[in-house]
Amino acid sequence: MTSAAASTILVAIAAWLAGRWVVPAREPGELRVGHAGLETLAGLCLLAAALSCASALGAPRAAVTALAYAIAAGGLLARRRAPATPDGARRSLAWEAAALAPVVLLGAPSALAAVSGPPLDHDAVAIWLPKVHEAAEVDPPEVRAIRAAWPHHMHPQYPRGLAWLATAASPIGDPDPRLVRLIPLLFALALSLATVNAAARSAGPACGVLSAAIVLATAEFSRSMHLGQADAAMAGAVLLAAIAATHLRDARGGLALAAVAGAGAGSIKAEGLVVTLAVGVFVLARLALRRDSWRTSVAALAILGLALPWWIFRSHDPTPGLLYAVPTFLADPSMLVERLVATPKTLLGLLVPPGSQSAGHPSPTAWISAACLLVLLPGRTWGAVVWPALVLLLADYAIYVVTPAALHWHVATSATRLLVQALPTLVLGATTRLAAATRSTT
Amino acid sequence: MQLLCGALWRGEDNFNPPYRGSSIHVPPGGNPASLLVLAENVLPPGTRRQATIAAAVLPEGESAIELVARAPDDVSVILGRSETLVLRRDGDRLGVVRRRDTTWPRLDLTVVLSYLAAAALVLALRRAPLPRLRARWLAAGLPAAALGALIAWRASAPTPTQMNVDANVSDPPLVWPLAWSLRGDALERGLGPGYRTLVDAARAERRAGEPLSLVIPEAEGVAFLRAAYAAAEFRDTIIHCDRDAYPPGLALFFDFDPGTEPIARTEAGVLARTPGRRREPPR
Repeated sequence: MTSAAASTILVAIAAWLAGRWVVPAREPGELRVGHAGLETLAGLCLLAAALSCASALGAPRAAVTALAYAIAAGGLLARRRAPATPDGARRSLAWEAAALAPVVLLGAPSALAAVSGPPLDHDAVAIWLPKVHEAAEVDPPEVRAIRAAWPHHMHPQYPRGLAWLATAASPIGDPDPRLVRLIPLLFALALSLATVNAAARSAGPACGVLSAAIVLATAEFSRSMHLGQADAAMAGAVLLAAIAATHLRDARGGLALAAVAGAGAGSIKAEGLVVTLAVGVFVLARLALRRDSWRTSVAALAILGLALPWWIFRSHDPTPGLLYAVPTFLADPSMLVERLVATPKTLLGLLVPPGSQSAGHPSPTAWISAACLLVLLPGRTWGAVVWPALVLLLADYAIYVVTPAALHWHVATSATRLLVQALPTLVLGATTRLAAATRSTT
Repeated sequence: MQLLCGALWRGEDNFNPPYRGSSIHVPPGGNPASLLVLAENVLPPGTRRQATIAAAVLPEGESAIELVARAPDDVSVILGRSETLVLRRDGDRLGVVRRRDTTWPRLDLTVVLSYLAAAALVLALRRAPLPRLRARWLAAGLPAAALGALIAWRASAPTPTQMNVDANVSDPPLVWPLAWSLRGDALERGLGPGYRTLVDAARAERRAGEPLSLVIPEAEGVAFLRAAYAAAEFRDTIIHCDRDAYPPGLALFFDFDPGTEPIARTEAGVLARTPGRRREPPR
């Protein structure tokens, strides 16, 4: 247990330092611990993208690991100009402690579970653990490894960002299997602090503490953060993209931060590519509208490009992709109509389980997400930006419609976990929106 | 016309469950005396399973073949996922007369109305003067109520076992039970007594370069976890998720006894040299 915890702390420190490359210095209204959480979250995304990129380009394990610590060391030396903080703008120590409260009180059982036991969840064992073992091999992954059939390596086409973070945490020898659980946990704890920080700078720290507590108290999220699945890590990348976009709206910079989030998402899980592409379109649109300079935009696109080598590498993979849906629907257009009709009905079962599933219970994540969407639906007002989460959910919905797999199976196995990826961003957006609306009426 | 019912079902793949039998064609340049019936269209061309209907099994004249898709869990027929093909046999030649999508569901009006209602709700909410309706207590009250409900939900659940929390069977408790272990051989604790002994025995028994098979009854449960961990340790092994089909040689059988002379036996499974088993593919 001690070695696994020490390895995790090592990668947390490396991520915190790496995050200093892209996160601006702490500004008035931000909390110390919250800002550190934001830096750690950004660093985790940056390292996941950079290490995944290096390995896809053929770098051996030693070089990839050295790259991780070189980025961290560079972050330590990075100079950032701290803005002048007016008197009274500093948060008190009590608020710093309050920011840590959700992590300590609600995150502790998950953290202790992750550090004390091996990964036993099916997906953690079948999908993510083999990727750590592959990353720990001396040779870089080959096309052979991608083509390996289940059950040797389930979903071999998924990116390797998390696997490389686990390997970097344990530079020599085989990584501890518990790192499969601990790395996503790190994302979850960092995103909790980043949530507090993001709300603190706009709606106040109390709003942030409440948002983080709601996320960590949600049953599916608390499961996801310790089991070794990648959804909590994806949630971190989506939240980071949202925070960066919010910073941009406040004209405080953040395009590089958005690019790091996009590259990180594309290096963590397959659906993260949606966030990568969305951020890419966002960067190009801002460039077209002359909101950002060429230099800033090209730098952001270069960071986003960190996700590309893996996806080029992955294109050799002959396993089914979305493209097989096209000939299917061309051959039988009625299927598309039927899927379009049946998908909402099936998704509604998350909120109100159908009678035939009497053993099932409503999904708290689905209810919280639905409530947040109701708050967020009215016109654009002040608050956190949530489009990265909405784009991801719309893409998930489209995939449900066009993938010709049995819908009930598709939804039952993935819908809640996909909502977990968007949950922190939706909660942050909804709570800041409520606070903003109240403020505007008083 | 004679009706033949054929159930086409891929039972061996948990991750691409059956969808429907949807298309039928005579392969170009193929044997005109046979007809390929695609069991489903889940997989891309070249990897899909196919069922061949020999002309000899059909009577002369028209026949109808019903393609039935089944649910993966309870093998019940999935409504709306079956269709009937009318075939004609004329000597050695087979041809498709027509497709009859007799079991397709009609457009569900309630769902269409739901789409419209959702769109109307979005439009209405965007136009409603909601800020004037909100009160200060809403800003903190609604999220606090949600948090309270979530915590009450979690607190009302009985304390699960540590194994169930680790294996994604139960939600983690709100407070870490003091009785739960934080140290010890976590792998042995998680994968059950006898796992480590069995794997060590396999490592001692295995000759250099000798293949090792990991055999489990099905791809789920603790047996699957044991096999996955063993595969991670040995690296060059293959997991066989089938108690009736596995190759000859040294094999670790998790959670079932193959009936051959064991080299080692623990609560986690059996290590044995086996002559292997083969199963005829379903016709």
